[in-house]
Amino acid sequence: MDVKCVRVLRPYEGVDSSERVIYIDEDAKYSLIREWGSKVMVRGRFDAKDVVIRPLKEFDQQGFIARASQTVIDELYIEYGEEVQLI
Amino acid sequence: MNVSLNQRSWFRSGDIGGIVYSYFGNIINFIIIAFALKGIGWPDELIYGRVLPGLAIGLMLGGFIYAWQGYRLQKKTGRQDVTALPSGVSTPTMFVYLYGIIYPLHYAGLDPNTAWMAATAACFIGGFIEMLGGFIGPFIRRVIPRVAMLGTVAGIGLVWMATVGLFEVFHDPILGLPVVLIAIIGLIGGYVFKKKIPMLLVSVVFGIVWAFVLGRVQVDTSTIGIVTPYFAVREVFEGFKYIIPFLAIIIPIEVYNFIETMDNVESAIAAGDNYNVGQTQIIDGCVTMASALFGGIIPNTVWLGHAGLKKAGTGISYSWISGILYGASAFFGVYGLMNSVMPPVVASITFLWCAMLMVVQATTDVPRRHGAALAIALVPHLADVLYTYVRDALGSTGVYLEEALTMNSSDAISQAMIEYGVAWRGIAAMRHGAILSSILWATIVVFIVDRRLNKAGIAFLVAAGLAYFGFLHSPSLVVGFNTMSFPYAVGYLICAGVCFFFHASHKTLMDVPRRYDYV
Repeated sequence: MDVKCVRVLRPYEGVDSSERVIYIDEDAKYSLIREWGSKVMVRGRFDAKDVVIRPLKEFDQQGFIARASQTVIDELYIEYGEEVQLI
Repeated sequence: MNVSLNQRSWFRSGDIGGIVYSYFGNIINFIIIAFALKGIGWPDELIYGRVLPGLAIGLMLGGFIYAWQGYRLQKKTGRQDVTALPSGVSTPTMFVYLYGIIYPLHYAGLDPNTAWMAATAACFIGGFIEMLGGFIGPFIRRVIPRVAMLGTVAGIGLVWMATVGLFEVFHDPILGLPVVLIAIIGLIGGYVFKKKIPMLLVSVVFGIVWAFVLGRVQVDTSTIGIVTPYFAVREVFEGFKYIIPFLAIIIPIEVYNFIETMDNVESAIAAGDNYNVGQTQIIDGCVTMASALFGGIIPNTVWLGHAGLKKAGTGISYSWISGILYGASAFFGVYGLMNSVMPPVVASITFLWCAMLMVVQATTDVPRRHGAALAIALVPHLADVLYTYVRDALGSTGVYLEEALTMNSSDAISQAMIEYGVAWRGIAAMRHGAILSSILWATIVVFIVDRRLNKAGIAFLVAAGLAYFGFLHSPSLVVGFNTMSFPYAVGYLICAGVCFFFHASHKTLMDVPRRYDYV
């Protein structure tokens, strides 16, 4: 899988908002890491390169969602609930 | 993780469905080709002795190489669910080659053998252009939004494959409806017989048996015999001198063809199999050239439908097995027999199934806000199918409009249609270069939705350039101020200016919210 389309929700509480990180489900994470390493390009309205990928917390794993830090959300120029593509 | 050869399953039950899809689907095309060539007096020796064996060699090579690609991907990823790319004769390209090159050669007075030489030369040149796409394809894929690629594939699937499939079913409902119902119950409903017999296979076997019961088909063995492949390199090079006037047709259709390959590989990637786009285009080009050297006259391409095959559990082996079947069928004269026993509705159900998957994929594998781009990507294909049906309907009554219906046309039928309220000019313009129009308009809408008006402006500039040289909105490559496509070039230039103006001024003149939900 070289592209994954996910809906981004608000970041986890207590996470450093200046970090450039996106949280995705385990399957997608392993698939993307195998393909691209631990950093991916995220395409929203604008592109954000070299974003670190981390696993979603357990209660989010089955939700078909992603969460991103505020810095990344701003960089992508999207709002909560919009889809992005991970490349 | 690497997988050793003995860990891989060399054949899966879903491969049977893949063989049905690619083998029988291509047979339909072979039947169309044979029918069209017989219509202009080509003898059976040329059709069954040169043309179809040449095409079969191309498909056979394609089947082997795509299977090799699939095994490489399986080894690289460690996944057991890799599906080989389906290969086949490119259907839209087939019609262009038949009716845009071979028929005009016939009407220009060339005898069948000389016309065949010219057609093999056209096919060879086509393969070379297709191969070049392998070098610029990856760049195009990075630049063009995903929905533009998937949307144009969905458009072709919807207007050509799904409609042709269902029209064939409704043409003979007593035969067709039960067959398509069984296929849908299995493929979409998920019902499977015990021991996991693929429902696609069940519906195909049922369709053939049911057609026999209803008396719709009869066995004809008169074509069975040994056919030796003919190496036609001399004929290909002799044919070049006849084909130069047709470059204006060959170049755009081959650009379309390598974009079609790119789109279909993109569709495969979206379904989870990460094939190399450029490598695949080079394979397509080389296989097409090889086919031409053995007498083939229609280019190969990666077929639509990988997502449907993958969903149905198809693996890799169907590809090389289909390749062997293509070759064996050609070399033993089986195509005539197959032609006689297989009702068209059997192939139609696979077309319908794969078309449905393409449309669904285009709506689910892209951001929801890009939905408008998908909608507009479908429109040029609707124009294409409308144009083709009207042209063929009139052609069947002896009225030939291909050259007459242009922007500046004053012929009586065009004028009558326009006066009657048929937006024929728009249909004809949008139909020419439908694939490029579809991709460009979807790209532009994505850039607008994503607040990148500067990039939308660049896309309009590209559209203006393509229109000026006749790649868009023109039946042939032309340059000048009095051509059918020139007004469109001007229109696109104005649009580019508007985009650049708004991009430069929106911060001072407008309020643009970060998120705007248009639905």
